[in-house]
Amino acid sequence: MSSREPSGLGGLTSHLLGIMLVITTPNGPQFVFNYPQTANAPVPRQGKGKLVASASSNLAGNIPRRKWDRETSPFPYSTPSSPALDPMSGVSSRLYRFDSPDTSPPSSAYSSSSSCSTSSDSDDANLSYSSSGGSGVTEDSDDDDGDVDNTLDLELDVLDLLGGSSLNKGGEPNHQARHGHRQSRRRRTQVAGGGLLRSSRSRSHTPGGHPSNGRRTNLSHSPAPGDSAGRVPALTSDLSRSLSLSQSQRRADSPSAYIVSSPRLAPLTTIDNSTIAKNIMPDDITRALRTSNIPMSLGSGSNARDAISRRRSVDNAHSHLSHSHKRHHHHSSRRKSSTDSVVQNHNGDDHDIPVENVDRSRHPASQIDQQSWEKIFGYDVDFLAALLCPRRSMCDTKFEFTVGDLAFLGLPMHERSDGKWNAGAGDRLRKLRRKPAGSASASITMKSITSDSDRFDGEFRYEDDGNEADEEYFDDDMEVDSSTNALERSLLSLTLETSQDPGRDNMKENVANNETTMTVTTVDEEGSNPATNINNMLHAFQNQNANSATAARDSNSEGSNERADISDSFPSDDQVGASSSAEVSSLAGSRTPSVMPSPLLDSSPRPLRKQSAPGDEKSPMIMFHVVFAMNPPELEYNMRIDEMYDYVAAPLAECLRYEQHKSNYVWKQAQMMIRLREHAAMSGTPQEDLFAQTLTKSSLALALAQIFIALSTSSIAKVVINGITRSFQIPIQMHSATLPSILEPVTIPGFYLTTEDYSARLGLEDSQQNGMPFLEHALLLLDEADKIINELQTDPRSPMARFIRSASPTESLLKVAASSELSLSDAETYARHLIYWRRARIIIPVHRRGIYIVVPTAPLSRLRTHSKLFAKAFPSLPSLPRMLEEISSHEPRPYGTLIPSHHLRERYLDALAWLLRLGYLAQLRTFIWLRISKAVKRSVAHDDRLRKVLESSRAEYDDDDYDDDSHDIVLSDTSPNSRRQGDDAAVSLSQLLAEDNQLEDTIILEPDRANVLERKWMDKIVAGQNEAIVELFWKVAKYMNGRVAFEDVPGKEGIERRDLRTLLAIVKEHIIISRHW
Amino acid sequence: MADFGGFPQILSLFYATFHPTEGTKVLYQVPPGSVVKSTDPSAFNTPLFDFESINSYIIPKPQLCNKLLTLRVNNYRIVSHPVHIWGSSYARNSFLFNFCFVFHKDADISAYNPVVRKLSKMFQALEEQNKFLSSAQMSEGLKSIVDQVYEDLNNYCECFIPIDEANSINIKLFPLHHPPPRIKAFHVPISTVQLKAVMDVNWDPTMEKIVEFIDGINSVRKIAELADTDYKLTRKCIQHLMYYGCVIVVDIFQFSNSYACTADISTLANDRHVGEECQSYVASPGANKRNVCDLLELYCSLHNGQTVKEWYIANREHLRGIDIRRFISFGIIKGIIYRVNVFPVLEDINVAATDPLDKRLLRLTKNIKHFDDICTDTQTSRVQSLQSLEKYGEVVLIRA
Repeated sequence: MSSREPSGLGGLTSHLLGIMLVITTPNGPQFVFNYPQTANAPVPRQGKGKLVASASSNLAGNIPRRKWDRETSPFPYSTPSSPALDPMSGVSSRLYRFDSPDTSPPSSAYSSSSSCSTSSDSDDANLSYSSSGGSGVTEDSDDDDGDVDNTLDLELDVLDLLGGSSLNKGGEPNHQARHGHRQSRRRRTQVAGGGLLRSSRSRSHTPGGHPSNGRRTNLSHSPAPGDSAGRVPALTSDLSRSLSLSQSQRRADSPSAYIVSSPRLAPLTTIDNSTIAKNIMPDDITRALRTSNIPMSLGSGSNARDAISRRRSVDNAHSHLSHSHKRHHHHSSRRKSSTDSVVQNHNGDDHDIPVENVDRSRHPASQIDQQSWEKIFGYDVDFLAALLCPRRSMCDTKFEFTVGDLAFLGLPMHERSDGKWNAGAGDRLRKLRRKPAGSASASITMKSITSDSDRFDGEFRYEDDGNEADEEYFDDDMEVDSSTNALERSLLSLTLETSQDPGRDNMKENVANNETTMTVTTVDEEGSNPATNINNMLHAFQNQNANSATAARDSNSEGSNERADISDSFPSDDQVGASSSAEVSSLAGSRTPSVMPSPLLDSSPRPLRKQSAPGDEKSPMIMFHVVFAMNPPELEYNMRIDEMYDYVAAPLAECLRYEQHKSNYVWKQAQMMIRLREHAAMSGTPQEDLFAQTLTKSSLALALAQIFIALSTSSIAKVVINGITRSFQIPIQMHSATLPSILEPVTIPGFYLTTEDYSARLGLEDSQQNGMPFLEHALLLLDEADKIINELQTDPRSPMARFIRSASPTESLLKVAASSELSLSDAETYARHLIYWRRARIIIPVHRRGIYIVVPTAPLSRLRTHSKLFAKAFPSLPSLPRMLEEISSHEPRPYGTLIPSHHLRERYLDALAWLLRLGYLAQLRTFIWLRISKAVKRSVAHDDRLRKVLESSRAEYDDDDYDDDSHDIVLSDTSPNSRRQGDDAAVSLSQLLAEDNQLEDTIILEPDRANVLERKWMDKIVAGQNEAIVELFWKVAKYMNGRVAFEDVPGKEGIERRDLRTLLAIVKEHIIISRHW
Repeated sequence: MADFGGFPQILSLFYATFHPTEGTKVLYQVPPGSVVKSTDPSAFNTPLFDFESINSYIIPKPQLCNKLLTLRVNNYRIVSHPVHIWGSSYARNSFLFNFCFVFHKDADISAYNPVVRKLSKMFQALEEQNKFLSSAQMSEGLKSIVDQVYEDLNNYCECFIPIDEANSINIKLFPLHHPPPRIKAFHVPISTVQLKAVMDVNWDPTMEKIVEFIDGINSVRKIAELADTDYKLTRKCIQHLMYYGCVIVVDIFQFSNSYACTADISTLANDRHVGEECQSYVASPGANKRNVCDLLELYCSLHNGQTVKEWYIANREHLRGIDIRRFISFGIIKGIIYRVNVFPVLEDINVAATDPLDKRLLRLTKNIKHFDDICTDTQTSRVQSLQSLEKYGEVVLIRA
């Protein structure tokens, strides 16, 4: 005898410890984000490993910046044969294609920048293409010839400028000293940085017309950009490395630079301005304008300064060196005249940081701080990152790695070999295979039903093929563009860049400028931001900044300034809706924390985003991986891991890949988070503050945190990813057909018992095929209508809200739809939505004729609390315990018998719905089996036999050679001998008796697939009844399988309940009725 | 009983080390070709997975050594316990090795975890003692050990391999069960095996005492009383028996109980084996087996608001040849019926008692406990406790 299996109900913990984001860039794996921060608790080590592990981690911890391939790789010694770790060899050939002067298009960066300077005195912001184009070309050839010299020249220029500016402000000597410190520190990190940059990739499809072309060309000629600067000796020693760097750099390049450089966008910028003006609040505009002023004046200064703080960032743009020099060169030439204005325009936003940094860097405390948050689960973050960034062959498939009790789960997403991110054919296959059958799949993206969009579509946004095709088309288009129209594009960018100058000039007088200026300023940021890593330059800029900062605000305390810096310099995602494009503009683009949220691009709707997509493609990110750290109990391991993967990890990864494909979202967010970390590491910001900052700044970080919180509380995560609301949940089984064992009390609130698995019918994808499966049923709201409306953030006047208000447990969806004037499909969609969000469930409409019982899973432990609520809600009714006693103390009977008077009926039905909602009651439903008694069988056998005998005797008379088989049908075990004896009647009698003894009552399990004999039995049951009854019997007989509730049958077959009752009364001898839920 | 044969098959077992110059290498694999290509004629044409792409997880950094690692690769899961031994005698001052078990991805590998751990610990000890692993590139002895572990675990779920006079591999797979749920005083254990037959001298004295009272009638509290054992120890013993599936737990049978059928009643109709089992289980000694349809109908006639006594009176003629207690307990065990418990609820909860027994009674009532719980706790009869409760106000009875 075996006991029932444990039902596995009641377990609500998801065993989720944390969510992490790691990415791989050419610099190697990089840790980006983890939530919660308390996940840093060390994992107990066991046995001998303890010594080893702690020793090595200590060692690692003491080295401030480790090279990735030595200490932090989980792989002891990277064997030279491993291809994934050594991408250089494969890359170099491609590089040459770009870098050889003859194949590469004219270096547009140069052309643009130089023509910038030439046209800088032009007053016309919308400089014509032709003129700038001409100058660009000429400049170009110059550059190609004298690169090294040029670089050095530029360097000098910059220095010149910097010195000038600091002089202008009367730079304080102690600043200089601090920067000296800073500088030396910087050098150290550079050395390590070189190590970090050991691997890189190039992308053959990169548009040739990218502004960085000039840079590239430049690099290929100059021995080593770092050396040319003469200050970063160990940075890049060999040519190919620097080349590859420039390649990767180029990809890291600001997408917003693309926005401007893409020819398509030229007209768009103006269009957008107008649309934006319509879309955003005037306040926003003014605010944005206010903020945007500051950086404009700062220009490259702030960029360079910020570059310091990003010493370890992925886009550690060593190779931008020379380029940025040039940039600065032309900026400087442009700005020299306006240095004063630059200084004055500083609002003193955040310029204490460098100073602050210098201070901190002297204290070992900052190192310790840093260390503390670089341990997760007892492992060094870099180590963990390397561990969780698997090789390509393990990407795009389930990643599951367990260390002791700690499981890391995820779906690492690798960029395609062509550098794109959209799903390949293989991925789709996998997706199909993985799709969980039936139940409401968690990956459904229900667009939040917001006030502006009443219609919502439960679609897989990232599976939207049309969209994707569109994107692909667009990408291809752009590629062509980029290769052929490089020149044109460069010219365009030039135009736009040039156009900033008037704005800049206006800055002095007119702070609140027009939109054009702002767009343009972004461009300016873009252009100059590659400026990095040149200590001197930074130094000088810091000086400048610091001075201006001190000038601007002396009253502010250091600490608050520092925070203000970050919050100002990173566009906050809080004003979402715009978030995606905000990133497009300032965040990803400028690896500076450019101090402008760039409201134009912010609020610009989709078209712009789409336009910018191809430009955004240039991310150096090769792979990203959202890792779920879990500690499932050993026995539930597979189940827990699988559900987390199927419902959350995989859909989330695919969603992120879609966004990455579309607008480079993941990379931008990752970049921002990394930068914040580094900023914090530099300035010694406490870990909590860093977390808070990251969560407020990055929509992805926030989303991951929200997902973590939601999953740990078994609720639904509703997150905004790149401006689109998505939801993730591990579905809870709120109902069961099987009663949980007496040993495992149910802990899920609202748990109910039913054999009806609506969730299977809810499978959203095939609603068309199934028709509308539950329109006959009613929707039981699990909360007050107004509260639900509020929670779903639906406009109270929307059809959805109307539907929620008119939903009633007593009325079928059909009626509700009619009364709220909604189409059936809308009603159904809303119903699905509510069910998905666990705000409603499907029930058979409550009716006074229904029979209800108090279920064994009733939450009686909360009876006291519920009594009070019940008394408040239904003051005219008996107390809750009384009600339950009334319902349960008799043989189950229709609920109507409880209702004392007609006018209380409504109240009682409401109370019934209330009790159902809380899981006190279940409806007893009727399930029927057909029982075939001996008598029926015998009688059928008799008939058969009689007929057979008649037939066979007739056959004997008609034809002498009759068939043996005809006998065997009836008398299955007739021995041939007995038949030979000839006396048919005698034999059959004895046979019949034998058969009679064997006859047994049986149940027809599948009446709808009854065989001939069973059909005869069923015929016999209604033999002698009138035709209507017989017809009705055959209509409903197929439901007599013990699985279909007869309460549903009248609705299904369109028959009267009364008739059905009559029929059941007639055949009651032949049916077994069981009543359960 | 637990299914001792239900262990997943080891699809492959391989031994990998870190070679000072060649990196991570698979030195031996069974079956041949399952992990890396092999020249063996019987080898697999293609390995189960691409070893190159995962070798960094097979021989990981020291941080991850001496821990149980599992890694999923395609349709397989690799369970291993890499070992890192420091020593100046080694080429890089350290020796890294790993014995890895490959399973199908959906296999429940919980039973293997201790085995993997133990095996690697053992090889670590052997290596530390006499350089068993590192002395030769790949000794025949080691090959045969790996072969035998693979074969024996797959075929017999255990293996015993003497290695030298001091060491031997001695492993056996044990199923991992869920921890037993907490049982209560009013639960009634029913044994599923002949406990007396499996008992031996090593059993716990409490266990020895209580075994004879586990008869499917006595509650845990009663057993403790009858056997004159400590209640808590008794409960522990019974939980222990539950863990191994030797007993299952039902509630107390009384003729005043109510039962009703659950949705699983259909298994009795649909599953012929359950039907046959029921027929033979519920039949009174010497009586003929009853037809399944009759039994089904009888189960269906149980419902809320009706005691077994009432039910018996109503169906007396149909119940001929049926042991009612066994009829009910079969239904409970199979989950085709459930016990309808009665919860006394005092309308007024602001009452206080002075009598200690009443105090306890009131406390239980306020926490909404059913009569079984209350009666075993206060050790009074149901009627008694109801009467004492009624002294404190109106009592509402909820049946659920």
